[in-house]
Amino acid sequence: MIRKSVLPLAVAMMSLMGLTGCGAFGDEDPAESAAREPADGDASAQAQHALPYDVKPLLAPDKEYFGVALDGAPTSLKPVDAFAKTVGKKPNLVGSYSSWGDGFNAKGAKNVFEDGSLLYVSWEPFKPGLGTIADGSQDTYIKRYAASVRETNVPVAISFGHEMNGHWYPWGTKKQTPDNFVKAWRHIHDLFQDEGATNVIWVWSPNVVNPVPDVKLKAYWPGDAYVDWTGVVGYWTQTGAKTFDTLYGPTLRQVAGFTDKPVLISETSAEPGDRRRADVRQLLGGVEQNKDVIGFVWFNIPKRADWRIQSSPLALAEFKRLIADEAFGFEVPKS
Amino acid sequence: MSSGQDSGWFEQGQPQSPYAEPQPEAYPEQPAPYSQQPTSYQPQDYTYPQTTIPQQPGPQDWQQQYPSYGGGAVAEPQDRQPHDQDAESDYYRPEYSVLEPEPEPEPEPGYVLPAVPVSAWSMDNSRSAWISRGVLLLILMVQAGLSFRLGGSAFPSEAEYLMSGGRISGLVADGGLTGARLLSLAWALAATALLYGATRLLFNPRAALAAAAMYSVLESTAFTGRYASMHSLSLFLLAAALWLLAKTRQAHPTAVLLATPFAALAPFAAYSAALYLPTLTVLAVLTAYRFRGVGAFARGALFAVATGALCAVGVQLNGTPTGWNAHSGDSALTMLKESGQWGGIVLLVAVIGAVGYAKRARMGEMPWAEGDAPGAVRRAALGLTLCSTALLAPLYQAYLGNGSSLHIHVGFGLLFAVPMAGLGVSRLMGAHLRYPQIGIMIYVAALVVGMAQTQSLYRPPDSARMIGVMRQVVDGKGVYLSDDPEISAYYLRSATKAGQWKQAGRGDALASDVKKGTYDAIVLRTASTPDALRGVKQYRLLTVLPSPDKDSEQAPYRIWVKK
Repeated sequence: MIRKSVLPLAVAMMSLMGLTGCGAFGDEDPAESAAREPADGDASAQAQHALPYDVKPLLAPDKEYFGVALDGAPTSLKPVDAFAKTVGKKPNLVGSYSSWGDGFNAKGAKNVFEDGSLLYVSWEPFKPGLGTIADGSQDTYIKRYAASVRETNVPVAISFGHEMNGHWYPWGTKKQTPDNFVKAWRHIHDLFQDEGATNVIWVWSPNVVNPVPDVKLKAYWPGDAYVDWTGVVGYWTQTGAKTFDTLYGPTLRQVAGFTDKPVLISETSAEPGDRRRADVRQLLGGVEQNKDVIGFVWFNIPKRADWRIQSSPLALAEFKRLIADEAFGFEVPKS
Repeated sequence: MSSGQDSGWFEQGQPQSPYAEPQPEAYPEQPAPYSQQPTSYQPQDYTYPQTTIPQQPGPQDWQQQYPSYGGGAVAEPQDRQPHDQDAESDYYRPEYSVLEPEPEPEPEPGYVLPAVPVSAWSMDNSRSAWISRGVLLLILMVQAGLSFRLGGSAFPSEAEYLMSGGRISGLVADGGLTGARLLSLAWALAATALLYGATRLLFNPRAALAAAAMYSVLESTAFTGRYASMHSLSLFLLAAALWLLAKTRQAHPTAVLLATPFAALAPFAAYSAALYLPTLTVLAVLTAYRFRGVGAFARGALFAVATGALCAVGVQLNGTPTGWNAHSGDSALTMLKESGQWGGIVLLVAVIGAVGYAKRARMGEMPWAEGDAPGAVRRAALGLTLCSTALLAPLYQAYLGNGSSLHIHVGFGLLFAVPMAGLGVSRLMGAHLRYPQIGIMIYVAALVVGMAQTQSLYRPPDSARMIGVMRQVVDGKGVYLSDDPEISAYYLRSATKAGQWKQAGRGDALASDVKKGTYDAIVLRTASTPDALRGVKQYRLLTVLPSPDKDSEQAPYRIWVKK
């Protein structure tokens, strides 16, 4: 009796095992399937094995970046569209400012990327000091910021502590040392690497040396491994340098002494006045002619002066004429 | 109960009409000890069934074989309405009246122990053997299930084994990881079955089933059954040697030669099996049944010499297995503690079994079958040998300070202790399975502990995402530095050759490799970026790949590529 019931039971369980076993064999080894090219229709496998956005093609593009900083952008792209309408060309780099302690503007970064542009963030450490950043006590914030950047998975240019060679910012020469600046920079960079935020273009962005000739830039240089672009902040004023070479030349020559990273004029504009049209011509002409310079970011915000290009019709007309050149602007690739 | 409607109750010759009324005179013969009115038990009415053997079998046989308790008092139906007097009635409505209060029924016994048929607890017969095999089949299915619940991508050593190229046969390479793991499971199941066979031959089927059940739920059994390596084959060879020793126990001493090829091959499958050749030699002596004294020792000597000779030939042909005596700096105490956790239950039960076995050869379920059992010395020696063998791997590895694969190697020793543990379970359950709950308790404890341990030990690196990314990075020419070169080489075997993958170091070794910049990509499994890769010009971080399993403690894969 027992024999009659046990054996069929055993056979039944065996066949059940066989069935479940076969199911388990189907696709049990995820690494084995990962080693194969995912099928076209297999979106989940493609997404899972997709590489993060590779910024390498963006580092030294064939054409010039045409950037702009506008109030309200990049959270909204309406100011960018309006500016594009004004100057007759769509910018492909959107400048923005982020104070230390602010979260990363992931939405803005996506907006900009979907519009075919690159987000440029000037990360300003007003508080709590470069030493505090370097010693690790800000790591939680930095890691959260980095994780957010990584998750966004769109290219972002980040310029930490711009104009560090000037005395006018709290992270400048008056309150901080070059050593502190380099340590803080490297620490932030390391944490971004640890988090895997590889979609960042690191922009080291001093002010032009003209107003602060005694401050040597090399001491502030974190190293080639930590920087992708050299940014140069230099405005055209009514009383300042009149040519591209006199405004940016001294800085570029000094920088060329320790690195050959591509140069972006990371913040510029021309002060309204008689010279403005000529200054615009100098800027755009210089950017186009200088092989090391990969573009500029026009500061189109009224702050201390009305830096907006539309405030001077003659200068605007010149800007429109020159920026129309094919050398300026390109679509930031989607992958 | 004694309704007249049931024609079966009528005596022959009674009216057979369905409407026939109960005849009062029939009542004294009605076999209704409970519903009718036995006033009291009257011994004088008792008649033994043997006295009234019916001439013709029929319904009346029943009442003839059972005593009538009552007899005196009969229910007298009142107001009888014979059927023929009331033809209008649609159906018969019986009416009863009880003349005397119904007495309490006789108290029934709590349970009745049925007479034990002589066939139970007897020697093995064909039927009980088949039942045992059926149970063994269930045990094997449980074992397969415990192995199958483990899964994932290859362990580095599995990948290395698969890439070592036909060490066993082309079959494994064709089947890939899945095929190799299935083959391991097949060896593991066969080993359990052989263990059952050996224990049955040495002791009895009940101990054998308990041994197989205990062994099937061990952490090491489930692990090796799902581990693409030679360990499972090695265990199978040892189990086969053990079974053949038991099988030839009554044969001429030269029959032991059958076991020697299996014993000699086992260390060449997995070097740790060499530890158990002395045990097998001792068992060759102890299991010899017919030839006691000199014959038994001759059997042991024959086994030792033949196995040694075969091993020597193997070393000549194949070289010495490597890694068997590698010293390391692992904590001996930790190793012994862990071994205790992995095999402690089995060993404890085995010791109980050994003690019980030394005291009594049998439990005495079949008093008529006593005798012809090994003597006390031999029983004690067998218990000691089998139990102490479980300690060999932990002690040896603790001595070496090398904890490598100890969770697998403990299974080798337990293979020998488990027959004693099976006997222990059988003894704890007692004669005639008096305390089955003890056996169930031990089994469930071993099962739960084994499952939990396997779950925590069987954690192959989750390499799928890394492989998915590296597939897009590698080509047929590059050289790659990796923490998991074997895994990468195995999974990316269609794109790269194994020689393109090198093991990554740490510290100065890594720094020097990075500085030289000879590698096209560097893949590390590390929680944070090593200093050697901080701020380097030659490489850029491509991506960081944390395990998709949030609960995983696995450090993320970090991939650098040349700038």
